[in-house]
Amino acid sequence: MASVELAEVVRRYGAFRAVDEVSVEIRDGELFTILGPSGCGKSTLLRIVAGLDRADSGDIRIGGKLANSAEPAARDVGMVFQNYALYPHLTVRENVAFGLRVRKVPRREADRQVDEIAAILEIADLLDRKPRQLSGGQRQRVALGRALVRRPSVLLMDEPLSNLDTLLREKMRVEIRRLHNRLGLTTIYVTHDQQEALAMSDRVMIMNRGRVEQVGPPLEVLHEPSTEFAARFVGSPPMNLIRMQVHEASETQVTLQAVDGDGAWVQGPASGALACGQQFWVGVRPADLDVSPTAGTRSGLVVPVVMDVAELARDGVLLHCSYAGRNVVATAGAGDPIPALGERTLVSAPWGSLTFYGCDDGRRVRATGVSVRWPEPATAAASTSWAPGDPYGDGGLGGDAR
Amino acid sequence: MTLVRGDVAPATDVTTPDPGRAPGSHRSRPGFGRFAGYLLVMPALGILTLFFYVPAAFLFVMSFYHWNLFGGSAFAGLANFDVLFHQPLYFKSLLETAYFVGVMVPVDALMGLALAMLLREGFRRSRAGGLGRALVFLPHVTPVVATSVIWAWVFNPRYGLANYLLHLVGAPQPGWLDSATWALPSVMIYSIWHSVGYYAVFFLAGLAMVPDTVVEAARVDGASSWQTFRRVVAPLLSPTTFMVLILGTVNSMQTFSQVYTLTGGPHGGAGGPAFSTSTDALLIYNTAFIYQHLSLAAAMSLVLFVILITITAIQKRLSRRWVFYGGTER
Repeated sequence: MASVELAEVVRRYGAFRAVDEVSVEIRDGELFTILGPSGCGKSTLLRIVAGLDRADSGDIRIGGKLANSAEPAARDVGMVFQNYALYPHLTVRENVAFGLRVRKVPRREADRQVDEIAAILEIADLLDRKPRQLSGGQRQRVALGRALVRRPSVLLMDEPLSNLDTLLREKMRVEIRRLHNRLGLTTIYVTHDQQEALAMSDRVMIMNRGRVEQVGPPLEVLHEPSTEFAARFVGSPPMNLIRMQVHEASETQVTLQAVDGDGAWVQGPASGALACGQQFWVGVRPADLDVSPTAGTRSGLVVPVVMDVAELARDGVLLHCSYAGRNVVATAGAGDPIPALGERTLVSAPWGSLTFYGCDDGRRVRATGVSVRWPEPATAAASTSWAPGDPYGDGGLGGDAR
Repeated sequence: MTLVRGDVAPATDVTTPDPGRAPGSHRSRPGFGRFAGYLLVMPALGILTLFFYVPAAFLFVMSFYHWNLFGGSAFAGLANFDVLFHQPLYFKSLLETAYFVGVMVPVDALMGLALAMLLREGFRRSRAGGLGRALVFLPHVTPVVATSVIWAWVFNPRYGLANYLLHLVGAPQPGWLDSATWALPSVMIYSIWHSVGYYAVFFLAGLAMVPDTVVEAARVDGASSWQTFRRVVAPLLSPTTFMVLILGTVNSMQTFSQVYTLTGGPHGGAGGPAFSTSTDALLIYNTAFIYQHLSLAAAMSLVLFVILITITAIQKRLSRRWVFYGGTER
């Protein structure tokens, strides 16, 4: 077992940076997921760790040893490919034993080790078959067996479940996690499926355009996306983001209005100097949005919307509303009234539930992040003592919404 | 190619019903469906019959006759074969053909494979790949008669390019086409130049069918380049190799043009110094058109045909042991 350290790893294809200064340490024995949309560089990064691709600059350390130019064979890694990449002309036994046989492990010893891993993966009865005689899930297990039989110190998995159907994927997800718990192998797992990443990982790294957006435990990534991209990407449905700029800023209060000026506003307590015109992405989770034609608030977010589509989801109803040509999603709980199609209404959220991201770098704005002190969520929640049912426009802001 | 799941029948499954033969199609156009197939193969079959099957049958009959172009042919039984198998020159020509085929087939296959791998690796991320393939294939599309004249100059012992280059490095200069030892190897060198690109294209197509990820899996598994080739690439390439071996055997056994042009002489000579290049095909030509023994040449052709069929059948039989027809799923 070993840790994997990446330091400022860069991989260029011409002018395009597939991997752009990625630095992260994957701890010994952890199941680490790299999550991102296709083309974000996650597979390239995994291939660099495997030694199948080379970093143009930066260092890769496996188990503390510099491995920048080491051949894949010398890195002591096992890999599971997206399409399994089994040797079609060999039986399952020969497939799994391949890595042992090329290393001159005697046949009897190799057979013993194959039997052992086959028992763990429950593929003992498939050992004499050829890959084409196996189902997708069985091939997946064989590929796992082939990667594990050499007892590598790091296991790399490149979207291993993406070719399986949903039910099998959910089953294999649990099995991989169970296997990880049992073997305690340092595992780097690449996926574009956030459910998969959140369900099985110790830590998740979100990547976009070759860069690291956020690294953290699943719950942290889910609840506290630290960049605008992460906020847009994680969660189902993910956060709503509205671009706003500071309209008025006093010692104690700040007011922001939507940049496209369609009547959405945010008001909240703040102190310090915020320049008028400074722009932020204001993020709000669908579950935190309240839909009501009359709901008003003195503190928080209010957006005038037109009801579009109601969609039945696992826990409640997703209300897709349109605001300034964009989609705003709110979750309605069971029993909540659902506005009719085309009905004008308001969605609002308390100040404490809002997250702000800088428009320049996409980073989440925290107390120390900019020149203004934003209230911490806990205190902000306390200050949102607005009365529900306040008539709209009471605050004197957003009156132009209608 | 997309991934084929295990539960899907392979594309070559002959039991798959042909949608064109659905019951409804019979009813809508009675009679046509049954004969459509015959109608469609008729033109090709007609041409084949006229120019291949009939002459072949004719040749078969001819080989059992004393044939005279100007009449007076008579049935001869096995007399032609009797003459043939008492001709030392005939056995010499069979041995020379075996020598030629024995060198050409492995060299063509190995060099074709090497060339294909070089082209594939060298032009992996380059647009020049098409150009490289074209250049390698080019010799094969040149007319043998034209290019072998150029090579006859290359192999000229006194002012040819080959000996000039050997002279520059101070190496011994063989007599090439004028030497009984070197005449057939000279023809081989030319033939390899002419045919290797043809086989390289086969191997290029075969290599394209080997999935990159399978090769990468072998690298991660710790296989060296040789082990990867030996244990993964070569087995997946075996159907291509098999085809190249069959085609190579058939083609080189029938080689005639370059032997004739390089060593035949202007009046259809004997085939090199001391008959050293009188391969089977050349001897058949000389027997028929120089010595005017048509029925003897027909008998020789028949024997050549039987030899070819036998070798191919043996190769096919042996292929069961080493050719993998599993297909490569991506």
